[in-house]
Amino acid sequence: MSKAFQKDTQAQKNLNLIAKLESDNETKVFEGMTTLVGMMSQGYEVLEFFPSVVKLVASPNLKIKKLVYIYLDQHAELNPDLALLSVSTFQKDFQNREQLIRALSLRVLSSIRVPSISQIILLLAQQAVNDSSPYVRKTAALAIPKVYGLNKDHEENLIELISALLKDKHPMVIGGALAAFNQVCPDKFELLDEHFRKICSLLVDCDEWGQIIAIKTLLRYSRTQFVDPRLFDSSEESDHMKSGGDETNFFSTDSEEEKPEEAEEKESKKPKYKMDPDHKLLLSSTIPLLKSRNSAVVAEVCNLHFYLAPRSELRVIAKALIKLTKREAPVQYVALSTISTISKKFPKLFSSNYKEFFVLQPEPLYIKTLKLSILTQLVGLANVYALTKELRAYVKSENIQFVICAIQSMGQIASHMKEVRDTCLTILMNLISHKSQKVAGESIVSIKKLLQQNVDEHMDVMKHLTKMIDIVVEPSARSSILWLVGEYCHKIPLIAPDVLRKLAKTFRNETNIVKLQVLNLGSKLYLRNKKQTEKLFEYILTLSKYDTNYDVRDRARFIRLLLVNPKSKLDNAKLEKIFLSEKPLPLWNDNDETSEFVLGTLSNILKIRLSGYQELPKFPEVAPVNETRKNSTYGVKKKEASKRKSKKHRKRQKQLAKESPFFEDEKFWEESGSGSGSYSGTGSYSGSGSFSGSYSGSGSYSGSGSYSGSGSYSGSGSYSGSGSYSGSGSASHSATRKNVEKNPKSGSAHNSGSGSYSGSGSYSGSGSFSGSYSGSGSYSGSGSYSGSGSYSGPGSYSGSEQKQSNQVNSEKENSKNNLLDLSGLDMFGSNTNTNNNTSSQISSLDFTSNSNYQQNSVKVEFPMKTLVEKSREGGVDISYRISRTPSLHPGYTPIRLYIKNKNRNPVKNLKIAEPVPDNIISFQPISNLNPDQSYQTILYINFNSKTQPISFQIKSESELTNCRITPTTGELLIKPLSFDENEFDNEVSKLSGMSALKQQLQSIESLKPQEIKEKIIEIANVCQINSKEEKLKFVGKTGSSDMVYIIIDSNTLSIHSTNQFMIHLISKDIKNALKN
Amino acid sequence: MIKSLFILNTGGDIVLEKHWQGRTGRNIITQFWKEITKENRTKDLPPIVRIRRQTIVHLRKYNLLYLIVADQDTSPLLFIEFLNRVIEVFSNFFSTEPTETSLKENLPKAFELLGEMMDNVFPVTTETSMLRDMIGATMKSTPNTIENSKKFGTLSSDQVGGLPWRRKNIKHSPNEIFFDVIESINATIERSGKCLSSEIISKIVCESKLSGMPTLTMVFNNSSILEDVSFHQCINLDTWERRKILDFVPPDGAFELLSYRSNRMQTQIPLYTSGRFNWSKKKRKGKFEIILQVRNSLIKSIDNVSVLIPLVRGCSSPAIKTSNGAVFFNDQTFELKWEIKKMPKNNEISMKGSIKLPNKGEIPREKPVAIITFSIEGLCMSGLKVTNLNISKLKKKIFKGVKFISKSGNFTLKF
Repeated sequence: MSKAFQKDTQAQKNLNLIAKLESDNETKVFEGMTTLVGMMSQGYEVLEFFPSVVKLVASPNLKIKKLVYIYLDQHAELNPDLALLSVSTFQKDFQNREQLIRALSLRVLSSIRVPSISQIILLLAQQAVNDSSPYVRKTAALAIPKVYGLNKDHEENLIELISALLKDKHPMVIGGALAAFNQVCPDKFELLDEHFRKICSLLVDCDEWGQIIAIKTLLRYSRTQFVDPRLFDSSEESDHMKSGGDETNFFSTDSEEEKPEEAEEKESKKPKYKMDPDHKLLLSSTIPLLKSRNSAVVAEVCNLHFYLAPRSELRVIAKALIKLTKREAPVQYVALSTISTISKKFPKLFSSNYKEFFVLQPEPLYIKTLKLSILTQLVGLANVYALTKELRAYVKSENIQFVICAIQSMGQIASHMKEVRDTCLTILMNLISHKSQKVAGESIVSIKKLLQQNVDEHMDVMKHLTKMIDIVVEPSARSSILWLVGEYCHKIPLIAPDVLRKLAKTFRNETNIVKLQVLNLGSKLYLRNKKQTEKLFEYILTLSKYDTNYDVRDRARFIRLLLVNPKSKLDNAKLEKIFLSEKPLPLWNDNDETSEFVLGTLSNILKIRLSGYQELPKFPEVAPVNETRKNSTYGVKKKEASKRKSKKHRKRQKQLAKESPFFEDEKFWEESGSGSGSYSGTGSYSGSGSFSGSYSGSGSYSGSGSYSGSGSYSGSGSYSGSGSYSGSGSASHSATRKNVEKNPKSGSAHNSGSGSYSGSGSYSGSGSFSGSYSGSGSYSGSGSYSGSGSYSGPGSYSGSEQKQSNQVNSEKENSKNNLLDLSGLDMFGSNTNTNNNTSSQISSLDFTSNSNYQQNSVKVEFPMKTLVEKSREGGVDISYRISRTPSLHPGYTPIRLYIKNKNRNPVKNLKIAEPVPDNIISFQPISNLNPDQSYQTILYINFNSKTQPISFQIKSESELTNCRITPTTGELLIKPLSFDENEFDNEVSKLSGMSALKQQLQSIESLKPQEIKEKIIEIANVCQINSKEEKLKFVGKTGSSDMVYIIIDSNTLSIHSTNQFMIHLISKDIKNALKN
Repeated sequence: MIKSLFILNTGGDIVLEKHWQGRTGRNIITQFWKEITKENRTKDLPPIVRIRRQTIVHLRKYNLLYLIVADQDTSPLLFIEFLNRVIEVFSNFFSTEPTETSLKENLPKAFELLGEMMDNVFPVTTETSMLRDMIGATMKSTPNTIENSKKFGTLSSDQVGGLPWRRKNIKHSPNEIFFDVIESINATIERSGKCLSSEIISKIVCESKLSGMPTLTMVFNNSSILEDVSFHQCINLDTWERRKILDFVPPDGAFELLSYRSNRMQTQIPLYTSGRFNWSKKKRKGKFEIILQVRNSLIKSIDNVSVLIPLVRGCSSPAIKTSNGAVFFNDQTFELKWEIKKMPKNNEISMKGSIKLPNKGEIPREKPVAIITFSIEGLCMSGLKVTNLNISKLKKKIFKGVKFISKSGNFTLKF
């Protein structure tokens, strides 16, 4: 009755609430929403209010809106149809001026787990990535895993977004980007290459949660990139570690420890290890984080160092971890588990701090047991007496569980340290009469294990134990005693039969494990002392025959058949082998499984493999060559670098004056060089002399990108120019430093590019300089330069066909940023002595590389892209360009393919592999393509108005290659044939609301209308409408015949179309294009 | 990763629940509650447990039990620190400790805060000042102001640009900033009075009421004391590494600036203590004596000293004599407490007496310990001193001060 009544009132309340929510009065609505959120937080079912709440999403009152968002966040997936109603509001909110609202709308929208909207979230996220507010960008990053969770098909796009976000320089964004990385593509480490240094240097500025993610990711990344520093730990170092702990340690399971002779031998064979500078950078840039107040950050740094740092540098984390153990219990718990895992591998690290792990009485049990297990690992000659004294106090504790752990520890310590074995045995013997049977049992088990190690020394203990059989009740203890008696019955010939006699009397009331041990004891005695025990044993066997437990019955039958049965054909020797064989010494189980989980995971704490657990990658044997990372130009300490630079500079000049006259020439160059003049070498330069000349060519290329070599060089313009020297192999490679060692390939390439520099002979004095820029990194970013190489190839300007191929080359080169491949070095060599000449060369090269655009200012050709690289395919080089010629097949976009056979053999029957996908109309198969012959053909692809890549395979007689073409949005459009302005305006006015988008364009003022027009036509296949007004108007048509209208009025961009998807994509592209 | 958060009261009822990824059923909580109340394991249940194939991380604060349910593996400390931050933010927003009552009063706000602090499964904004801007400081006072509240929180560019802990346009009058250097001494003392181990765990807490965006620099007499240190986010690590100077823009209000740990002590432990305790088998009694004395070298006075001896269950009828102070015996918790309001300067004081064991049962093997608490104002045991405190970018008159307090942390006497 009363329940029904309650229900009624609840229903009444709900009605009231709905009335409030649907009221016109904002205050009431707000009250209603607050009540609703309160109800949610208490776990009430509030789904019935969904319709009323969804309506409020468009409320102009932000406070109400916020509460509605909170509601939708949690309930949208339960009512996806209604939730979809709110989507347009989110999209609108996303254009809000306020960054918080933009972020919130994206966050809530992405939390609505309705698969059908994944495309919309993706679109918004794509926009958000370019948002001006880092907070919004971070939200975008966090939306990525959610989209991924909804629809795995978007993976490609999402990875693209992640790599865009990783480029972000704001520390706030980095954490989010890496979180997304970890959830979407945790093993795509190549994405991180170019950002590694940036992340390292931004680490300190990230928020704490970002730091945790970043450190975790960098750890996994580094395990794939660097070699194990501990492989190279010299034996001296490990000796040092030993002496640090000042005694030999018995628990160290160090497989790395070697016998001295072997070690020496190895030493001589071992190549000298030099840590990769990036490896070092990571280690050094995480150290300051040990000062974080967030224990999770500190612990992550410790984990990173545990897995990456050389052994000699681990002290610093030991200290940090000990400090964590002084925090509140939960933190202490995790810190102690970490220490326990680490000390298993490196007991020395903590052995001098063993007092920190003494157990305090008020501590909870889980802390005490962890401390005990650590103490057990740390035991050594220096502390064993102190430890035993502590343990003696611990076993007196009132907490049984803890006493049992202490007994186990004591047993372990005693078994390894014979100095305290007697003391421990005495303590353990005293415990047998403990009021708790569990404690008594545990101590007997420990004693048993200890006795086994050296029974002759402890005969008195043995005898004492046999007397205890009358007192001890705990089954495990009784069975342990019986086992001992059986095992050593020949040493106590008088007592052993008597024990059996006692047990025969009580046999019926024993527990199963005791019964089994009695049988065991009986059979051993039967073999050793048949005369005295035969009858007794027969009696016990008969009793067991009728036992209720089948184990006991089985065992009895088995023993009877073997021993007592006259049919048994086994002689005594064999039986003795079966029953009285020598037993191996007992193992002390550490309560820990051999399987070890990575530190800093829940799995490590719980010792269970949880879902989401990531194994740490194994170190590679040889560090992979990673050009991208080495080339990344993120300056670490710019200011310092430039400071040092000036010092070096002066020093170097002095030295120059002393040296050969040739250097005066250089000096001249340097001064004539465009004054950009900064080469910001840093400390990594060893010796100033080595460096001279290295920037000598600098002036001429001052404009180009930065020199980044090993990260220590921050972006200095001047360096990049010195490229002319890279060919000068004469500059000795002896001094090529880190870069070359890390990267033998580039080093050698470098040296082989010989003789380009005419004056090289005189260089020999300054030999080492070449090392300073030997890393191909020096040219990263210097686009114009690397491009130039390709142009210098002979005859490159003749014939359009070849020009294109050259361009392809240059693009490739750009992407690799690798000067060393360039063929044109000799040209530079001949020109280097005259500065002007070189720079003019450059400018001309720049011109040519731009020429493509210039001619195409009216009719844009889409830039060429590589489809198949020659290295992969059987010598066929295929590139493509999306052609803007009218298509023969409606809805299909024509793609022009340029095929060139670079092989020595002709290629036969080249075509698209069967089955040809539906959305592709293939070209005619090419029956024969001779070496060096090129061929052009057209392929039609229906992109279906999506920017998703289209994959297909190209097949020749000998090869099968996977290809993939990704269109840009603009190319999805088709130019309509005719359109006049009236019609245009008319259509535009019809399209508003969701079908329209208005945005402000920044930094557009500097562009002339003509330039804007060119840029728009460049990115999209649209046609301009002649307008009477000042506006620029364009129109295009999608494959599905949706019209897209673009208007640019001073600095406002508006796009109208029935296809909302298109609007977003195009607006993004236009904004990007106009930004530059 | 974090799936849900539950907050329980002392009776095991759910006060608040928040789910980030779908809903977690309540039966896991029921199961957990069974587990934690089993055999009085409240204290001994590890903070990370596995229940029904889910991982639960829990911690207790102000009589509320915070539970995180996680299904994916990640850093365990991340959960714990997140909970710590939740508690910190709650107490800042409720302007009182988050107890059951204050939480119930602020449920919608707490719920909203939790929504902001974590996105999907990743902690995002955990700084009070930033959250204040995002949520609007007072949701309570809304009914009247709601009509005008078209304006919503805004994030200042500074907060996004690297100072998430401080809002713009803070105004205070008068401007003042105070630092408390609180040093807690952990020590284990033998019955003879010999110190077995000791260390100082200290923190500097700060109460800042400054206008604008002031930059503070703090110089210490001996920065090597701060070798093992943890900093608040606001401290510029670079400056510290290079010049051993603290350089920071403080958050507004109360916060913990840094904490450090040190083994070296400049002064002796200020309180000398020794004693003995014996269980007598024949009389079934515990006999004990404790002596306390202020070290001669100490100039400051020690007030509010207390000695707590937790005894075995069932003890009764204490017969005790003391030279100073009063003794209380709690027959529920079986704890003996000796309180001294003011320690005399030169004499030693003592407590002597006995306590009865229950008539049945064994004589305990273990001797109890005495937990001693005290605090001394104006003393700094590590010898740390602030030699200079500079505040730039603020022209007005500023009141500033540094106070030192030394107190007992885990200070036990082993009989």
